Amino acid sequence: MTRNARLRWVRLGLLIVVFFLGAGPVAPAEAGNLQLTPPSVEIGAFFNGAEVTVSDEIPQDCEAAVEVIGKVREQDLMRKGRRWELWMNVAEIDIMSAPSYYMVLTTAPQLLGASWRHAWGYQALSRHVSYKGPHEKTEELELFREFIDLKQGQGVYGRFPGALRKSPSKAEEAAVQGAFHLPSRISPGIYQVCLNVIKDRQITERRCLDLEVKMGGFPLFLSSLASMYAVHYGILCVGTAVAFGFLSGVFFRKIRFRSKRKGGH
Amino acid sequence: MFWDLYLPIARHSADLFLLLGLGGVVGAISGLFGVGGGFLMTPLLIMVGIPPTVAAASDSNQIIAAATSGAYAHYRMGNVDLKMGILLLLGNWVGGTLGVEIIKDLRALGEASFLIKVTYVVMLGIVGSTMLVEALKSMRKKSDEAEHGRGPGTTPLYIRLGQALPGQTWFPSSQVTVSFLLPLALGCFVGMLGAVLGLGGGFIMVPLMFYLLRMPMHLVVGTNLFQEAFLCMNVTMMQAVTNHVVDLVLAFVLLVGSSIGAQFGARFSIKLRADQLRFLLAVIVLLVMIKIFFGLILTPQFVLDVKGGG
Repeated sequence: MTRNARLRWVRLGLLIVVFFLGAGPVAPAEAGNLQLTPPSVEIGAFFNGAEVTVSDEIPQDCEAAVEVIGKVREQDLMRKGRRWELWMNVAEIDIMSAPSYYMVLTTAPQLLGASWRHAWGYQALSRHVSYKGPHEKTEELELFREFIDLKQGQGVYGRFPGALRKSPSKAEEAAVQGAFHLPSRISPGIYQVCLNVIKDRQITERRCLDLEVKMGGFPLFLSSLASMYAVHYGILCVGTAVAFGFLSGVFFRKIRFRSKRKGGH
Repeated sequence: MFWDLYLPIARHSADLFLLLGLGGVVGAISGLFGVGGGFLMTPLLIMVGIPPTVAAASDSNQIIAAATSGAYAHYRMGNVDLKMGILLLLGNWVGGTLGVEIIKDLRALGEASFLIKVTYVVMLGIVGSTMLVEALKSMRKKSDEAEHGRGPGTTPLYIRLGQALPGQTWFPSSQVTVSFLLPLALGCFVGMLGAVLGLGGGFIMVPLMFYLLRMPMHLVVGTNLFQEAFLCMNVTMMQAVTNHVVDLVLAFVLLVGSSIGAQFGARFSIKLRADQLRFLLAVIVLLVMIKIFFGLILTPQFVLDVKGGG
């Protein structure tokens, strides 16, 4: 092997080492300065939803739209209708390719206006969603509206035009900041938070970060017990109630006995 | 905040004081009227956003506490007909098992919450209106015999049908002879309702034991609590194993509230006459029925709903 050939192999080896060293747990390159506070959310015993703040910097002459997207999954829904004057479920409608959670916040209110086709917001969602179940093609817009109503009612979908605050920071840069709410019924999982940098109604850059929502502490213990050791969990439920019934019976009997004795004297 | 309690099976947070308050109010009503209160608790839980199946199953769980404590107290006083109670329990076991399977299938079909609501309207409507009519009659000072239709030559059809059944058995504690098939069938019916609706079935079982099985009232209450405790244990186990919908945190907070409320209710009940108590209970039952009925006929807030009740 010539000296040059040996040098080529050494350089290649060094490149491989540098590549693997550099592949450690660093923030993905496309995240830029995008920041989430808190970076992850834990569902504990007293969890009642959480507020997450998102912040980043964008060019002064650009606008921004932040999307928070849950896991895309099939959602089994029932459509209600009137039968014999009663409201009951009349058809099963499965909504495909819709995220379990979706929030969109923008710097400028018109970014969520209905006047033109966006690549973000409910308009963009409606183009990706498909429907399974008995329905006419013409009903799909109505179905999507009903779906959005349901999700907004559950607090897992929302659109907030102008909720991203834009303020000057460095030269030619502007800081953007906004907050979104995770309701208490949020499912544990990974949620993607993406900031779209928009210029002339086109996305010029998309920066994304993962937000982990995990169950922890006592709720995790109980839900794992209930799903993995259902018999033990059932015995625990029954045992707790029986024990409490007996204990409260004894406790209140003692209180009554004491108050009678006091009354007697 | 510590009062925002996360319910890990319902996957929903609820205000601790709201749940304690609900438990307390329903407990006070059950202490006042001597019924389990499950028929009130499940609809109230649904109203505060708990998924119907979780509400029904967790309510069954919390009823165990009061029923166990009450049954034990009555047993010590000799107010439990064990022979009748065991037959009711056997029926309950079959009915409860069937009910849990029905709920499982209905959840898969997405019809559980509709069936729960319709059954509630029917049962509460029948029980509430019967009690109201009876309480009004009693308030007009009609005789007990006339109220129960037990006057000479007026033996009601249901009694004659019961007497025609095979397997007539003597129940010494209750001092009655009825077919052993009757408590089995009643137990099965109430067990099924208990599993579907998430209640001990006391408000149905008590009148049935009094009118159909012709048991003395003091034994009706004790034996009902005895069967109710075991019925709810069976339903809770079945719901935990089959459907995974029992929320222990929810059940525990409710049973703490209801235990305290029941004591206040029991003390206040001494101040009211029996017919006034029955009248009040009938009004409460009918109000709950009307609320659920309106939920079935008024246009819902959302035309789409999560399959299986959430």
